[in-house]
This record gives sequence, C-alpha cells and structure tokens, in this order.
Amino acid sequence: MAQAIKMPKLSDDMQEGTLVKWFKNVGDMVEEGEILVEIETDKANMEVECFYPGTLAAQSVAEGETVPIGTVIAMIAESEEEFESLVNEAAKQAAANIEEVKTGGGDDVEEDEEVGADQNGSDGHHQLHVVEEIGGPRKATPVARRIAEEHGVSLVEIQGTGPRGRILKDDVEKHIQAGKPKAAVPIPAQVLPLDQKRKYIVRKMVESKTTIPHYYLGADVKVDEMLKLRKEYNTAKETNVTITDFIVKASAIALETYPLVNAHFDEDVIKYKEHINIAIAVDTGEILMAPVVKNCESKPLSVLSTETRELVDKARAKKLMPEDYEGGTFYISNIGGFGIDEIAPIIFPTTSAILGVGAIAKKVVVEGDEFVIGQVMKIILSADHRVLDGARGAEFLKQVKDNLENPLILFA
Amino acid sequence: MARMKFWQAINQGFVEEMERDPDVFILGEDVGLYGGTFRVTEGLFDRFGPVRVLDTPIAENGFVGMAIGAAITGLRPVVELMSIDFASIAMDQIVSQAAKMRYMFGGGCKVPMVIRMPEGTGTQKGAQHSQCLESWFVHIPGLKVVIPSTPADVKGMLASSIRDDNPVVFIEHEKLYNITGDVPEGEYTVPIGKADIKRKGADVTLLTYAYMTHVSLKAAGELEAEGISVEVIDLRTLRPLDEEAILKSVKKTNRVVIVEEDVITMGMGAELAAIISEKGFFDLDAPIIRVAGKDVPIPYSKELEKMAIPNIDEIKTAVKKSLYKEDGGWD
Repeated sequence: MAQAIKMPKLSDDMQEGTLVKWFKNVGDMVEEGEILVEIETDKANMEVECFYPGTLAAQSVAEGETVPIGTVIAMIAESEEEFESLVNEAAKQAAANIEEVKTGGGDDVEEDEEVGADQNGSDGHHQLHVVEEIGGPRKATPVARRIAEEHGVSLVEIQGTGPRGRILKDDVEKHIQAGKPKAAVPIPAQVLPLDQKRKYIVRKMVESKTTIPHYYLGADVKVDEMLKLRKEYNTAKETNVTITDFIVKASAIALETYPLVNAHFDEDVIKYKEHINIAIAVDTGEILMAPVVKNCESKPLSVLSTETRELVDKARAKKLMPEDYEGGTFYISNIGGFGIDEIAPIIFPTTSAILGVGAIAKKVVVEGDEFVIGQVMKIILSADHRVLDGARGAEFLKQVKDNLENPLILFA
Repeated sequence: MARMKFWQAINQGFVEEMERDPDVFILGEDVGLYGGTFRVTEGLFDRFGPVRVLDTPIAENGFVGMAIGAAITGLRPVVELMSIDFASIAMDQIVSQAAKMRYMFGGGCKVPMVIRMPEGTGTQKGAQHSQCLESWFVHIPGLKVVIPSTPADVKGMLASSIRDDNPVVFIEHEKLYNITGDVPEGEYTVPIGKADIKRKGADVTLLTYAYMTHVSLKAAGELEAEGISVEVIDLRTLRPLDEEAILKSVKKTNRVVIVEEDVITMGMGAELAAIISEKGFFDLDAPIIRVAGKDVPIPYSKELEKMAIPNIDEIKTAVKKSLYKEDGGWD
C-alpha cells in the first residue's frame, strides 16, 4: 500500500509548518528512519524521519511552501507498480491543473493532446513539484562546519581558501567578522515575511493581551547582600551562579508558599499544577526563546544554575527540543543585561504571572534615618486578575523580594 | 637547580629511592659490577651491595619472572632489560604474569615492579638492537608505560614509578643518556599520566615523546622564524595517555602532527589519531598527520638508518601541509 506522508504536528500548538528542504528526490529509495524533509515550526527547524520504507513517488509540497498540519507532503510507493501509477497520477493531476489554467476548464481536444504530450516529456518540473538542488554539499573542515553551525551561518555564502576551494576555519571566522548578513536578514527597505517563530510570538502575545486582564506590581529590591553572597559562593565553589539563578530560586521558593501563582485560568476553572517549571526568557540575537527549568521545587540552587546554563547555551545554539520549551508554569524575563531599569512583561498564556527584572544600579537608599548608597534592582510582577487578586500578587512578590534581600534562604 | 646528564639523573633517583625504601632493589645484566651498559647504575653496587644491585645471567624470561616473584612477596624490584628488543624473550612474564596477576587474583596480590628498557634508533646497532617497541606494552591492560625525555622528568618519573604499586614499563631512549638538563634539588616526583607542554604555540599541535621531543623542538624553533607557531607536547606517559591535555591543545590549534620514532604501522600515532578523531573531530581544520618510522627493519648502514626515522625536514613539511602551505595530497 502506498503511504501518504503528512505534515506532522511537532509541538503542542503547531498549526502549520514550512517545508524547508527535501532530502530525497522523486525516485530515491527511502529507508525506515531516514531523514526525508526539514520542517520549520514556530520554534525550531527540525529534520523529520520517514517511517515507511519505499520509493519517494511524489513531493507534494515544494521547498519554502507553508501548509497546515495534516496536509499530504509526500507519497511513498512500496512497489514498482505503485510507483508508476502514483507518478502517472501526479502527472495527470498536474496536467489537469495546467489545462484548467490554460482553457479555464474547457474541453478543447487539441489542447488536451498538447498537454498529454507534455506529460511524458523530460521536463518534470511542472508535474511533480521537483525542485532543483541548489549547488551541492559544500566542502568544509569539521571545525569550519561546527563554527558555521554555531553562528547560524550558511556555508553556501562562504568562499573557501583551502585546497580545491575547501572552506577552512579561518574562512568562516572572517566571514562572521565581516558581519555579512545571514540568509534570513532582510535589507531594511524591503518587506519582511514572517517566519514560523515570529508568527508564533505574534499569536501568543496578541492572545495574552486580548484575553488576560493584566495588572502590575513593582518592588525595589536591595541586592547588596545577594551580590556579596554570590561573589563568595562563586569564589569558594569555583562556579558561575548568575543573578538570574538567584531570581529563579527566590521565585521557586515563593511559588511553593503561594501555589496559586503557579496555577492558571482555564475557561471557568483555576488549574493548579503539580510541578514548578520556571521558564526563562532568552534572546538568541534573532528571536525570543524561553527554555524551561523543570521541577524547581525539588532542586537546590547549584542544580538550577547548571541546568539553566545548559538550557541557555542550547537556546543560543538553536538546539532546543520541544520538551525544553514546553510546560512552563511561571516565567521570568530579565532585561537587566541591556541596562534597562524595569520591564512589565506580557503574561504567557497558560500561566498567571511573569516576573520582569531590571538592571541593578547604585541608588541612594534610606537606612534608618540616613542616606546610604545601595545596589537596587527593580522587579515587576505582571499578574492575571482572573486568578490573582492584588493582595495575592502582592504577597507573592513581597516574598520574592524578601528572599532576594535575605539570600541565605536560597541556599537552604 | 643542578645541571646533570640524563643517566646521572636516573642514578641519583636510584640513590634516593633505595635509601628511602629498603625494599627497592635492582636486577639485570651488568647492572652491578660493571655499573650498567649506559652508566646508569654506576656506583650503586659499592653503595648498596650485591644483593640490592643484583647481576643476573643472560636470561630475561628467568630474571623478569624472578622480579615478579619478589614483587608479589613484598619487595619493590627495578629490573633492567639491556634493550627493549630483548623484551620479546620475557614477554610471557611481562604480559601474561606481571600485567595480569593482580586482576586475575582478585586483588589478592599486587605487582609493584619497574621494568626499565633502553630503546631507540640512531647508533648503528642493527635491526635487532634498534627498535622502538613501546606500542607493544601500551596495548596491554595492567601495565603502565612511561617514557620521559629530559633529566628532570626521568628522575621524577623514576621515583613515581618505583612508588607505584603497578608494573611500570620505564623506557629510556638511548640517545638521551648523555644530554644535559636542569634538575630540581632534593626529592621530587613527576606524576605518571600527565603530559608536558614543552613549548607553547598557537598554529599546530605536535604530539611527541622521547628523543623525538628534542627533534620536534628544534623543528619548532626553525618554523618560528618562518612565522609558524608550533605547540610541542611531550606525552611523557603513553599508558595512560593524558587525553585532556591533548584534546585541549587540539581545540586551541585545530591542527595535529604526531612525531614518533616507532614504526608507523600500529604505532603510538595510530592510537592518538583515533582518539583525536573520536573526541576532537569538530576541532580539526586539517587531517591528522603522522611523521613516523618507516615500515622497515632498521638498517645497519648509517645513512640508511637516518632515512628510516623522522628528521627535522619531514616534521617541518608535515606542519606546513597541515596549514595548507604545502600540498598534502588531499582534495
């Protein structure tokens, strides 16, 4: 039986996918488990395997085309007869399409014959959406390949200076230094079509702001103690625990005390969650991603720190898998690295709150009745009023602030 | 710091170890009365007597076996083979007994012995007395294989090897015995299993050991004048290899040339190249190159003997190939 391969649903809320690349051509043998296509989803590009062995009889979607999930993208023939009949069918279908375009659906016999003749011609482009292979595999050394991949640079753009034009490490590094734009970056004056990832963000942010009644609570946190403790800890343990790690832990502790903040509104109920999964907003330079640190309720600061580091590195290397960015119950957005004082972020749908963190700055603060210089960090909790009344949000935020101002509790 | 020759450093090492630990003793051919064929044990017979500096008959299998017996009953023998070439006579004792006893007896005994073996090419001793056979022993689980290249390293590694509770094959390249170097004063050890960066560089990593370390350093000096920065790593221990140091250097330079005197086929370079290819593949900007002994019995003729092992020009050419400054024959 011939198999129809459909656009797969690669993540919870994926609705459509873009076929980026075909790895097999019509007529190629495909083995079970071999990569058939590369699909771009709202979060990442993924190589998709074919689970049916056979011969690729039809590429029903062209490279660059976007289709809804469930759309047939390929036909795999099990036998030669099937292959022949599928190819002929596709040709007839294509011919019929061409005929309709030409004659507006009429029954002109002459035109039919003309089209019939085309069907057996050598030009397969119109009939089966066969796409020309652009260039061939580029020759590059292992380290050149790795660095190009890490920086999202396509080898096709690089001139190699090695033997027979092989691309060397130096070639890639010079290319990156020269700041040549990557394939997807547009020239400013033109119109930029949205890729899947951007469409996803558009969808989620609009959904949030049109359905969730946001309110905002701000607090100034004195972080002198926290900074001091962080320095001592990192020196003593030779680690690199970050300020975000402290905030994650402070939030995790507060979420344990106030599980309502970890819940969310769902039609007409409030759903509490079993685990505390904290998502951390990361800017990869091109787009926002939010990898999730799972089960924070049971993890000490050191473990949270290590996991966060791995996830952030993965996000920047564009290697996040769905399980890395799904399932967040609370979000943290730290904009401090950009030198910005405060952020009132947008709540991610299926959660009730998000904590915005600003840059740490020396400020004049009051201690007792005196002015002193202190290090201050502004945090803002955006909260869903359907779940959290002002008092509930305030209790939670106060505890986060207390945890950060008395940081020994983060090591308990 | 004191300046002394390689053989003197070993000699001094022996004096210190034998005074520190009364269980340490030496045995082998001509180690006692004669003072050693390379002067390594000179004066020790007079100082420590005929029982602790024991002259043996020409019977390698026998006296290595004897050393094993001594080791498992509580002593710490340092047995000398006059040349690594003669190890083939004692292979059953080294490989089937010394290397395996502790494991096969479930830890019921230990074999704390050192087997010293001079080796190397370059003194016109003919095919049977000029081999480099370290890879035979690196292939055997249960043995450690140590091969220092300087007076400072050889003294410190002798101490570490004697104090190690495992059988250690301790290889000394014959052309090193008369080189001079700085040696720290007093007692010290150099750890087994740690390589040494003898020269820091940025463009290419040279992995080498024993006499070839010095040839490599000379090549590196000449390449410096041509603007090429070479990092020379003296492996010092071949089993266990210091993988961390090797891979760290490869990550830095992205290029590897292995310089070894032993025959290229199934030599140390083969193991090094496999490890780097498995664990450092994505750091390589060029194929790994081995500069090694040719697949030939070592000739007796002086000129042919030179051609059978690596020289400075071969090393420099290999470095340039890995930088694509010369055609490596790859497409």
